[in-house]
Amino acid sequence: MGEKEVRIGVYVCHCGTNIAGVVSPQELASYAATLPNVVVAKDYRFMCSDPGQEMIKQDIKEHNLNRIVVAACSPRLHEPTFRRVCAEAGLNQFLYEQANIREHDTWVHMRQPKEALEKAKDLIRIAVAKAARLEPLEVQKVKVTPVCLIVGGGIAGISAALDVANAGFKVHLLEKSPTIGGRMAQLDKTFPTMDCSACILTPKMVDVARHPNIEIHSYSEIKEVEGYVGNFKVKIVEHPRYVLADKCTGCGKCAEVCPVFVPNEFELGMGSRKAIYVPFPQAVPNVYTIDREKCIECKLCVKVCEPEAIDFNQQEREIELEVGTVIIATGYDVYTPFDAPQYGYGILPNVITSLELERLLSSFGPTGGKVIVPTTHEKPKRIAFIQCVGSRDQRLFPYCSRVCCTYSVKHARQIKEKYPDTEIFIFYMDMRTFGKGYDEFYEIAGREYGVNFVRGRVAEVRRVPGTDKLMVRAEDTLLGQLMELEVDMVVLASAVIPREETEQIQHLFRLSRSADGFLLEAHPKLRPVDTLTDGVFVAGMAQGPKDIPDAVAQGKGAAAAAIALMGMGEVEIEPYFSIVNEELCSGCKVCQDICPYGAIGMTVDGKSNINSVLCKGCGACAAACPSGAIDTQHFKFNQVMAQIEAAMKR
Amino acid sequence: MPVTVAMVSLASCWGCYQSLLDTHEALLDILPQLDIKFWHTVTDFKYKDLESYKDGSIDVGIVEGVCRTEEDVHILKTLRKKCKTLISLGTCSTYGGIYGLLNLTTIDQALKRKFVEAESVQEPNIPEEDVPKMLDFIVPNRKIVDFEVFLPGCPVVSKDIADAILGLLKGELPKPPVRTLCDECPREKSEVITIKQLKRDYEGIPDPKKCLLEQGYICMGPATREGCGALCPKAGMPCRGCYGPGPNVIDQGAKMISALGSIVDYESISPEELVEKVGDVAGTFYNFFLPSGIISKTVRKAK
Amino acid sequence: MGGNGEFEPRIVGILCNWCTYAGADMAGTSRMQYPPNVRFIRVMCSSRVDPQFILKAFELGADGVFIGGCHHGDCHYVTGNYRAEERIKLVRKLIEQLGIEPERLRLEWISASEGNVLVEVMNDFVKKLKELGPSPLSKDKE
Repeated sequence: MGEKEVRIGVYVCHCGTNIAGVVSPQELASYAATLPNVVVAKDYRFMCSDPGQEMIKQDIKEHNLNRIVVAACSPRLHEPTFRRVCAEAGLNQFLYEQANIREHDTWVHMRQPKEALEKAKDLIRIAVAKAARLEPLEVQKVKVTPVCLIVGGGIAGISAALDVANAGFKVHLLEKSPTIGGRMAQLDKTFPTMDCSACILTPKMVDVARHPNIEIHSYSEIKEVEGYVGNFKVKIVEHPRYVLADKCTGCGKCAEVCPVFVPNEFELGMGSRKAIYVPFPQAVPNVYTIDREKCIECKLCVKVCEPEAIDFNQQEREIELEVGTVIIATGYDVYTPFDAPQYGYGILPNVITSLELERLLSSFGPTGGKVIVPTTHEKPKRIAFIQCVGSRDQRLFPYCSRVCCTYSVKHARQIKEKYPDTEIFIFYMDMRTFGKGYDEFYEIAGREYGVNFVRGRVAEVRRVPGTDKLMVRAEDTLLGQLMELEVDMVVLASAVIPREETEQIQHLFRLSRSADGFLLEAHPKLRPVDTLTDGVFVAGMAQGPKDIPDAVAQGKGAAAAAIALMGMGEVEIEPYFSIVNEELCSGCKVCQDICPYGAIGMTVDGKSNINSVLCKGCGACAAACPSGAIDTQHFKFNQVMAQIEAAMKR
Repeated sequence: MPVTVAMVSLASCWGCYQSLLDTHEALLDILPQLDIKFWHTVTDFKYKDLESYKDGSIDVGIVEGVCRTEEDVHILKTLRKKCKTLISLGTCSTYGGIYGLLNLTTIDQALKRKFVEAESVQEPNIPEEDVPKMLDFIVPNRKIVDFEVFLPGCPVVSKDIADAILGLLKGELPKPPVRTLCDECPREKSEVITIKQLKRDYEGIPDPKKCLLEQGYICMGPATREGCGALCPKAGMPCRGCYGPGPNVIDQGAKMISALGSIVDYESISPEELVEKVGDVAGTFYNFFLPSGIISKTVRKAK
Repeated sequence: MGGNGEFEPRIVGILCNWCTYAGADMAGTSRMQYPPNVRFIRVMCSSRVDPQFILKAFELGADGVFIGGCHHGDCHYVTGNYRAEERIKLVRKLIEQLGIEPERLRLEWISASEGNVLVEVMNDFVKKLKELGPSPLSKDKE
């Protein structure tokens, strides 16, 4: 290293009382002063504050410090802060190490202050041991391709796409189904304003279709993802529609003559479509698709298609996209409550989910907007809504699905508007109508519309013998009475669940999922739309249950984050890459297949070689190398060994 | 002026000195330059002959074998005192060698097994008369005295010995190679060497041209210092690591464990299957190195 | 040794930055309490864990060594945790042959959102180590 002397400054943060309330920062600073190479050891109330940062900068200059250790919160929080402080004082930012004495010590050993103090000393000693062996490193700058891939064409994806496109960047909007619009297209009205969902959604869909910067890839999926922030290579597959998008005018004559009826997925199986179809009338792109599995190849559609848009020989198309940023907005599924047989879904007649009710309410749904009892087709005289089906259930989904209370209130009001005489009972555990205007919306449902709210879990739904009517058994906990209610229909507010594809998306982009199965954000409070993979953002229900305003807000937030990256044009990458010492390398090839990024190859002389830009610094090759020829920057063998020795020293 | 030399065997198989003799014609260059002051394994020297020399009066001392008894320790320390330059000849002296595997048990249990419990024992009796006291565990010689030169190998290949001695006669310390066996092994490797099936040495017939590790045999070559000319892989036997690790590795066995664990295909060989197939992990990866490993002996208390 | 003379195991933990270390942070943020016996060292991936680290920790007297990585399929570096598992299970067999109870080497997959799992594991590991007693290599005076 050519340095004369290692001079370490150690700073112990009080973090208010978060640390100082359990251990004595002064004692820790005194202890730090006794460690080898430590020339300055101080404590201060808030090291991350301006005066705290200034103190470090001053000391670096005054005492010629060339390594800095801060004992405070987790480095995952403030390492970037203090690295910047070092850089501003002219010290290489990677000559900094942080001891986590808050999240890993004072916060988790609050009732054992003596032990917490000893542990803090150990953690500081470990950090000092590593700091003494840190080497100066230079960040790598890589270019960011000014193109954004948005996965999922629902309202979150659409909102993001428009913002990114308006900022002047190219957007590839990828959607699995033949049309964008997502679940919002399946809704009739949206709470609390009772806007017609299609009326506010379809103009956005059209904006997307018309925007010169947005290219829609519908009926497409991701096959492979390679690369890293700023430089992703994504292989997508466009499934063949057997209809040429540039010729189809969306006139629909083909569907009129098609003899094959198929249950329509958009209508959740309650209505039908043809083998050649669009999922719903306002589809974007307005291009028909042939469901080849159901098609009987009678070719009647070909006969009536004037623009000659039908091509049974169309092939699947693979495209490679080069993008700089990715936004995942893949949305959600609704749980089909087969595992809650006490409610009778799929067993008893006239038990439906809320999403199915949406389709009945929708004017372009299977009943043209008439809410009817499914088996009798009559107007329902009494309806029971059961909340928290699957949600808040230790056996199924422990989380709250957030939107069901408010949408059930919406459904109740909608039905009352159509049929003022129909009695509605909503069985709830808690009414969570917390958003802007939601509580007022709920109040009115009871006060003005006469919706009955019963606080109690439904124990079971039984068939009334000899009829298609249902008997709902519940406890009204506010009255302290059991009740048995005969109803015509039961609507289950079924849980919002992560889509099946979430696992695949997770693996493709190397993301994490939280315990509930939704995609994990980088930080629950401060980084709700970032993921732990740089350059990949998440928005909407894919990240967790939320309503449309929040989904849109996240879409716009993710767009802002993507725009920030692409706007800068380049991004800094931490130089944690691994390096081969060619003198020691024997060409054993143990390292060759280890790297998941393909960063390791061989030189012409038969020595291992690592591409420092592709290398992400996991260290797998360094640990594997049986010659000790590979080492990983900032997590070098001698550094970690020193930490282990320091950990066991007393 | 011939160089004075004293050569000693501790607990050893004498293979390294045989390798010295196997230098054949080179002996014609070496022997006339040596004034052998002590070589008790070849002619009738007694320990008191060695002890009688003045300290530091012998130019070169050569040690082969491990310290198994207190007598070995005494000879080793005496040799160190009497010699200016001390050479550790062979893996036993340098790392502990195969004797080191006895560190997997205690000496008491080992003696009991050999002299009392073994199936072939007819009159159980642990001899004590005229037997020097055994050390509890093998400790590499360099932990007992300092050395100037290490020549690992089991045995050290004759060429290494000849080169080292001829160099020393010119006043040059040998420069050990820094790479591992794959550097000098003639076998060919594919682009990647992921293993889908592990084989014991006796399973299947290895392709004579392809890398043995790639074929699923546990070859310690990647973790073993070169210099032997890859003798064993050339002859169709996977390397067992007798030359010890390269210079940048602390624990040879640990590194080979890491390497093997890294190249098996997780889908084909689960961690449990890997452990089962290897069987004797210590014996496989620490065949010659155990007393020099980070954990150098059993810590089980003797029953 | 604990203040009242009771044996307090000393544990060295090597955690991967993206999953287990983040999970330990989450346990902290949620103020979950667990025994203070472990010292965490951060690496970027469980595949960085060189078996020499583990052996060194035991040789220096650690009563337990804990390695934390991501669940199968969730590794931030895709395949790192598989490499770690293959290596560490061999090391576990090695230490068993050397007379160290294999339970002293613990490998767990804990995600960033599983602070509670980390706490459970720490509680369980300390309890089991107390039952096993000090490591045969422990340098603490009895």
